[in-house]
Amino acid sequence: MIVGIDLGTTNSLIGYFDGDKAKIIPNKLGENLTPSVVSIDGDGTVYVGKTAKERKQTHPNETADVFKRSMGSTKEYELGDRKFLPEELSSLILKSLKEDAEEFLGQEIKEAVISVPAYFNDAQRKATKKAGELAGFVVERIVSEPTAAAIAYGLDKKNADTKFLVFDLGGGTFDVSILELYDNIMEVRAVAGDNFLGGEDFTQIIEQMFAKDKDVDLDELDVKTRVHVRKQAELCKLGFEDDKTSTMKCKIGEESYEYQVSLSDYEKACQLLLAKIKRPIERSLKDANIKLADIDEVILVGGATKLPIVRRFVSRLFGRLPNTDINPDEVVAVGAATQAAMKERNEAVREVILTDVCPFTLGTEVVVTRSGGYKENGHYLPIIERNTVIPTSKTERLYTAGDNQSEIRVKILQGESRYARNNVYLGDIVVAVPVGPAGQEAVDVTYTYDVNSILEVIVKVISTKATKKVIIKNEDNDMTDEEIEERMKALESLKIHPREQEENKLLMFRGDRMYEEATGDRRRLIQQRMTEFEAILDKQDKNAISKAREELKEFLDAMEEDM
Amino acid sequence: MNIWDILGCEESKDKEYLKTAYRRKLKSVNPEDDSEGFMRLRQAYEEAVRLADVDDASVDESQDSALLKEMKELYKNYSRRICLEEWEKLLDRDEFVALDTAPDSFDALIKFLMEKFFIPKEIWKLIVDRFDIEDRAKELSEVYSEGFIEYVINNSVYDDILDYSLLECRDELVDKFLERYYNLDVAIRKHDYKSQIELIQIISQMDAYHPYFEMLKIKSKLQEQENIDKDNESSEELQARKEIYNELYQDAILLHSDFPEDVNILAICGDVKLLLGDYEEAGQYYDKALDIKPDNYGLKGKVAEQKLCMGEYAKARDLFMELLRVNHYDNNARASMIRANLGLIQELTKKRNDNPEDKKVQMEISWSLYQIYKFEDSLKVLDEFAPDESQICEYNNLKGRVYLCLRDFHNALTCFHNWKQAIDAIPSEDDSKDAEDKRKRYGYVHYLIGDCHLKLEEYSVAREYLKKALSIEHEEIVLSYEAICELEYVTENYEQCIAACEELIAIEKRSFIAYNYLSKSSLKLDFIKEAIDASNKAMEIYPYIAEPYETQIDVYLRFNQIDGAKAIVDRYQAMDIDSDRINYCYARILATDNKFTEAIEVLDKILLEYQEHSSDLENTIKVYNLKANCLDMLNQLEEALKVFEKVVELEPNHRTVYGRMGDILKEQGKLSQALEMYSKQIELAPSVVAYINRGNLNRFFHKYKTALEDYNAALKLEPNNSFCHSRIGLIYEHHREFDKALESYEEAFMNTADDNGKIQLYTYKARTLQCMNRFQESMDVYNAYIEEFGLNPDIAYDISELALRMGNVSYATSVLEDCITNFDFDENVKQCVIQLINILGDEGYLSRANEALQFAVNRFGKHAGFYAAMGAVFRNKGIYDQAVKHYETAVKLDIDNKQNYYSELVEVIKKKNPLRQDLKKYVEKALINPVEMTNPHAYIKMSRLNRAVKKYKEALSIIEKGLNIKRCAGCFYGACHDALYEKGLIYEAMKDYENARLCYKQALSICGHNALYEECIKRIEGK
Repeated sequence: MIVGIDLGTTNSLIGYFDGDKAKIIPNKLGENLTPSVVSIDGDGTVYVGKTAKERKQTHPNETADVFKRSMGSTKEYELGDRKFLPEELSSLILKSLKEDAEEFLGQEIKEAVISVPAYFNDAQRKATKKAGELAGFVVERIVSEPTAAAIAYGLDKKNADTKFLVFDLGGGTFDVSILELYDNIMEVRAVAGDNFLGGEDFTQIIEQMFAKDKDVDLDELDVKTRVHVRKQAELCKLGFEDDKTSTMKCKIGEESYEYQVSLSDYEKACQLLLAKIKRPIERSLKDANIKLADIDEVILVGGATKLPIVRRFVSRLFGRLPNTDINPDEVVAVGAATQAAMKERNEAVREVILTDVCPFTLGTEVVVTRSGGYKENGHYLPIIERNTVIPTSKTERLYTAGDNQSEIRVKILQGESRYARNNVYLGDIVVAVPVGPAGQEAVDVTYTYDVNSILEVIVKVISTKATKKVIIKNEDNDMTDEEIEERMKALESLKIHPREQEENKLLMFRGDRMYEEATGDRRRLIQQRMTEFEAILDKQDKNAISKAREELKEFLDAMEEDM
Repeated sequence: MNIWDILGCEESKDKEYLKTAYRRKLKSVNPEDDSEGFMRLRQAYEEAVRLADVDDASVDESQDSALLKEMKELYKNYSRRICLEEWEKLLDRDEFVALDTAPDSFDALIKFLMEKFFIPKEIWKLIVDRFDIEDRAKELSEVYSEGFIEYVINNSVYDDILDYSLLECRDELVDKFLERYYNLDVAIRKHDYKSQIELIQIISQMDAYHPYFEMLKIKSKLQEQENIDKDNESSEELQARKEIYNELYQDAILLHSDFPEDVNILAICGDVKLLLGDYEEAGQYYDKALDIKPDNYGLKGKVAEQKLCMGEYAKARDLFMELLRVNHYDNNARASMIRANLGLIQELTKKRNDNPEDKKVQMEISWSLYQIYKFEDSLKVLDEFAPDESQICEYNNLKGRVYLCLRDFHNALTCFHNWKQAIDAIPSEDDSKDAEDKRKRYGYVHYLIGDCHLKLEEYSVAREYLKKALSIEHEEIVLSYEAICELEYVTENYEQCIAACEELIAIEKRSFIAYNYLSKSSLKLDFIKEAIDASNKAMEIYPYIAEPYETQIDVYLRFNQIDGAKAIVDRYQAMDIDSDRINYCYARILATDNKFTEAIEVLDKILLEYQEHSSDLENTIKVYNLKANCLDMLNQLEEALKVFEKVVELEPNHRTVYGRMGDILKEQGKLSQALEMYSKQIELAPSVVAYINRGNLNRFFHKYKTALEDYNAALKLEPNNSFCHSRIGLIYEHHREFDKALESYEEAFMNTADDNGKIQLYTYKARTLQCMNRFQESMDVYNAYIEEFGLNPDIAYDISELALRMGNVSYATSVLEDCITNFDFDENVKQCVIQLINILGDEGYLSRANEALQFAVNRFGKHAGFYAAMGAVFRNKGIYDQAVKHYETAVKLDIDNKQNYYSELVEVIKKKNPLRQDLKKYVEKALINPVEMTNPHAYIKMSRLNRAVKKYKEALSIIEKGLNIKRCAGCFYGACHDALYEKGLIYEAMKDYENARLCYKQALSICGHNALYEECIKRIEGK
């Protein structure tokens, strides 16, 4: 069985295909959403998900989140005295999801389809794949999130000729995809996006509004307080639901703050973010050569699309109410699971054919001769234009630019800028050519981009017929199989917190946090209840623990309400 | 398969239809399973959509700028559209002036005009002048297609299709009317009567009036009458036709009365009158029109036509000649000129019959015959009379030129010399007009003489006369310059040729010849850009002549740009004329593109056409040559040879054909014939290549002395030829003059830039040094090789052998292991595996040898050679069970191969059980696929088989032969140690231990170190 995984910036989900439809697998807490947060304590015990998120309040230095944004980079996260790459942290999340699925399905799970933002580049996709491998998965396919969403959405509408736009605003990334569904053929027409735009940015705005209003310098706060403020801002962001206003309450040092914010003020402050949202939409429509009026439906995907402010903006932007038939939190995972089923040639989905596109332009650097004969370096020559249907193979012929040039260096670049230097460097190939006057020797450069988004470059010298080929790998942090093995061993040495105690641990962390937040009598009260609970835990009587847990939960809920 | 086949649909521009077809096909080529198939389908679909888009630019007016809106407004309103001031106002708008917006505005204007182009000439002229379009034509052509910029410029120069101001029509109908009018005009010019009728009907129903449309109606009706077969016309029919003309004349005169000053209407009045036979009146109309437009080419033609009708042949002829001088390619004028000359000849013949002695009339007749290309007839008339004293110059002028046209240069020369003498004979004090006129042509006659010599390839005389011609002022001086250009080009003085061309251009701006030779010479001197520029200019002057196109094709082919070359061919063929020279170029392009079969098809067509009609090729030699080369490339050697023989037939002294024939004969293995051909080549045109080829063959025939002579001859022509030096080295090496060999290799090495040459020389040097027992130096050479090219299986074997000789077994094995681990399988790697197993085995490392075998099998699969090598190891160690097993595997793997391992198998079976008597059947089996006796190892195998069945004498004689045959490829040793070893084994079997010991010792001394041989010697000494 292949599972589908939505590895999100804020939350992750895992799903499977059950006979005729995809379903989400609940985690050990019985919830569908597992926060993408990892925490590790001093003796190397790993906490993942909600438990880790809770622990972040008290142990921010041992906790990491939002690391998906750094996927594919060499940025390292320090958790206590350990250092991790983003894909390693991701692998811990994936491992936890894998356990949940194995527990739930009662079988070992090996293969997975993992989703990534459509606009993820080559390096980011490969890092994601590696995360899967580190977690012990065979990654069958990296699928674009909007494509997955479209699959989830489109499967219900099997035979209609529909064009739709997927608006995917997740925690940290924004993607727009335009798809066309016709008679069991799903064509991705165009994708565009912004890797640095998401729900977290909307939280930050509230935070900044608060800081400005209360004249607080956020940068001067200690880490713990900073985490607390961020959390309160997030609560405030979500608090607009029915009201036109929302209130942010928080405590900095000994002082309590209360900040009321109106929706219209908030909207004004978000103008820049909203403008950023518009650009990829325009570009994708243009690339797909489709008019807005021809779009049959707009599908919202990603937690951030639940925000009233985003919904309002989207409605105005498209002049219609977006489709929310499927829970935006779950739609990607459902799609990934469906894609997994397609991969397996499951009966229910066998007929669907999917064509995807290359999300960015791939090209090379060339010299351009200007009128007057002088030569200008550093120009970008696109070979595979963005939104070309994949798999695709394109060839360009390049000539020597200088006299007696003995080799041609083909730089492999990715991006949209006219100038090579502004694009992402992926690698290069050097081939020797017989010397001669400029323009005499030529090479055919062939870029092949396959369904798995792997780029292969072949350079063929016309005169000598010599051929060189590279398959592009990410040079910076590309690990060999042995290194992966080693990393896996290192990760295995970490203790995974036993799943049956997950809920108890969660309560304990919550209690710890509330203890820190509270003062005086409240504090003592919490202290007392927590000690009692710990004593019951020690007795290892399941029924007693279960009962005590419920009681403690009620108590903490009531306390928090009060605070 | 074309894109429509791939899409499985009809050709269409309907995008919905295309999409449906694409999606239908997509179901059978899921990108998930069939990536190649999908890419093909997708490409076909995108191409089809692109084609559909080509003329489907959608218009969205809401995006228009204010400027574009204004342009559209202006164009929409017809009275504004044809008003110059309105356009001036438009072009004065800020958008056209302000620096930041001007380029975009100009761009918008040009793009606008691409779609909306019915505007009067004066407005076109305004645009062309205002934006300097003529001067910027080239630059603009790159942005907006050459054709369109040319169209814009032409519109500003040539007359409008009609007088725009006379159109009466509602604005919204204007463009429809103009378009249909334009099509009607074209239909009339193309004599497409059916379209004319349709268009006239459609236009007549439009609510619009223009006098020219009435005029076109008259023209169309006149054309209808033209098609009538007038020879078989009854008198009634004739009368009816006259009636029609009369009616048409009434229509025309009505128009004329409304527009008395309109040239076109005047002309049509004249045309009708001409058809009515009223030539005088027709002449009056034409004259009046010419008064208004004196330079109108068409009108002049009509006047000439009218003179022809009037029977004024001489006048008509002169007028047509004048037209032809303006437009050399006016076929109508040329035909009419011929008609006028024919009339003139009739008239003159009559005159001559009246007065047979009138030499003046005879001269005129022959001139006319000359002008209508009847050179033989002209010559006949000229031969019939002797010129008067006063006619000598004219007579010889004409006669010489007739001969020139007949390509009889010797006779032509005689005439021109006569002419020249006649001028020389004029006394210098004679200053009559006649004498002056004759003297004026003194330069011309020098040119003609020079030109004759040029054609006769007598270049130095030609140069003398032409230089003289240039020093004398005369009317035809341009011709002299042209001849000089040609002379310098054919004598390969390209710099001088360029200078001559430039001089010519200075006096004759539009000289085709000058630009043509300028481009050809520039190309010869590698001035590529100049060559292209000049050939473009030449094409501009005479678009139909093939040569400048050839030059450009040469340029593209030189840079291997097939598509560019093809585009030039297409450009030429788009003019719808057939040129064998261009066809030949096309064949060359195909051949360059490795499409030999297609090339041969084209060439055959040229050859066929060459036989059938006159062609613009001078001869077919190069066509045959190319065909033969193509056949050669297709490996159809016999056919290629036949075609080359055809070339020899056409030109027995051809300068390259024999060499090529030699190459093919060599390829066919007919070496002595090839040798002959190379000798013939050297005799006709000695070249380095020919000498080397002959030298190689001589070397092959063991004629080392002659070979050496050939290589040295080649070195005289090209002292630094690396190949010659290396081959000379080989000869010395063969003669065991190693010092000299080394020297030659060194020389060769210094002069080679080519990697393959270097690699070869490294191994030669290393080998020779080994022959001289200078092992360390030899190893140094290999190290230099590795430094430069890296270690590879090609030399690993050699290095391992050397290392063994130097006693460095571990280096030998490590080099081999390196290759086996890091390289893909090929014959060399195979040899490395075998060598490694052998060495390890011989050194006693049985398990390592076995490991090497397993490693090789895992990496490269099972190969007979691997198992045989292991078999030999076991054999040599006396482990016969294992040896048999391995050899059996080798035989099984290699059953169909002549290199099979029966002999080895038999040997070990025998060793295992010396009493076995059934070995003969193995020998028989081995003989079913006998080994080819090309190298010592083949003899060893045969000898071993004989030894196994105890036929020692046969075995000895076979191995003796084997020792005398040449070495295996790549072997360094003077003699084969393997063969010596075998010989030792035979002696040992014969119990002749002394001889056996000698053989083993010899074998050991040859390869320096070999554990196996050492063991043999030990063994034999024990006995």
